[in-house]
Amino acid sequence: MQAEEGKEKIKDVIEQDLEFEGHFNKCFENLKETQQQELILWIKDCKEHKTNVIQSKLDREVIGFVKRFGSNLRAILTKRKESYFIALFLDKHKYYEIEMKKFGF
Amino acid sequence: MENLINLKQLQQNEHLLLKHIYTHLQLKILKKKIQHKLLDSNEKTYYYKFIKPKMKALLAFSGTEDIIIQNKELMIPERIMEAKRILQQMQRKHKTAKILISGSFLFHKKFQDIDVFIFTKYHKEDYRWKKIQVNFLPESALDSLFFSSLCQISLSNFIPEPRKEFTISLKEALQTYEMLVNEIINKENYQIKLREFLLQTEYLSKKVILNPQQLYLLRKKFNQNKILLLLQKYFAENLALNYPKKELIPLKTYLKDYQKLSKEYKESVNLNYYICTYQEALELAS
Repeated sequence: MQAEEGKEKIKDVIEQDLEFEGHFNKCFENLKETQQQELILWIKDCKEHKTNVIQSKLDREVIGFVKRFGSNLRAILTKRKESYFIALFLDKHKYYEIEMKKFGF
Repeated sequence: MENLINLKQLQQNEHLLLKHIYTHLQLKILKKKIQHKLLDSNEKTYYYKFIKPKMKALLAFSGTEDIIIQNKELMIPERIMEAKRILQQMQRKHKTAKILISGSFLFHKKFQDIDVFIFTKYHKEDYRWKKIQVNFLPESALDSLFFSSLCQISLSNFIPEPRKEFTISLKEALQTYEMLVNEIINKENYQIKLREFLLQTEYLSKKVILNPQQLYLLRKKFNQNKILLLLQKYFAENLALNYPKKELIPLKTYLKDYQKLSKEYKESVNLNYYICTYQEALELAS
């Protein structure tokens, strides 16, 4: 699946617009088809409150969900409490660590 | 070689160097090189033909090798030889960079993977070549607690000057703990996070920066089935003992947030661990 198609599917699942961050396009297209499906299913789980949640230490109104794909890729989905999803980050582990610090997770 | 001397040393010994070793021009070029200033083609010829060989001889005579080894007695001798070879190879590839080899490979036979750290101004992608993992880190990492631990058992092409004093805020400590718990629950490879957590917490409690071997031994104690309960107890005690009561007040806020969140996210198991840990810490503190 191409990144643009994936983005549309993700937006359909969460029923809102969403920012895509990190090297999303490149990383998404490098995922295997099964991993792409896994990412979409995980987002559905996040929406339905079925996954582990973490809270930002910088802004208590921001929560996040994290998931690992393969050995080096990480996803972070951020959300305002009881409100909208902010962004979906997908990138290598190194950039994930920086992003996690930026959000205060 | 330029990483083994600094400008201050040159300035302090300028008189002697000018009298016996270098001309004014040579010393000027050496200073430029050490400050990472660009040399023109004449200066480059001077530097590589006359200045560098003399400096190399001076360093060799004073017992300073091109490769700095920290805590050699803790390393396996054959591994030192191998690490030296790799460091030299890396130096040829990354000529001006500060390079350091550290990790369990140096002191534990079981480990075959070699961690090479290259400190650079420029962003580069990490890569793996056979059993060598090359990690590019920003130069700011030289000031981190991680580096202060890492360099204690290491081979490098520069003299490590590790920072000794650090401040670990409550927020920082909680973030590391929470991410570690999350990684364990998600069945990820949590060893790097566990290392970061133990390093921070041991520094917090004893003001000691563990070396990679001490850290490895401590990690082994936690790597068992009840790891989450062990971490909970260890962290709660450390929070209560190392932060003044006043600084622990935000814990009450987080506790309330997590209790509220856990009603909404009933399947989020990690929240229960955070709640139990912070409750225990507050009870111990009071």
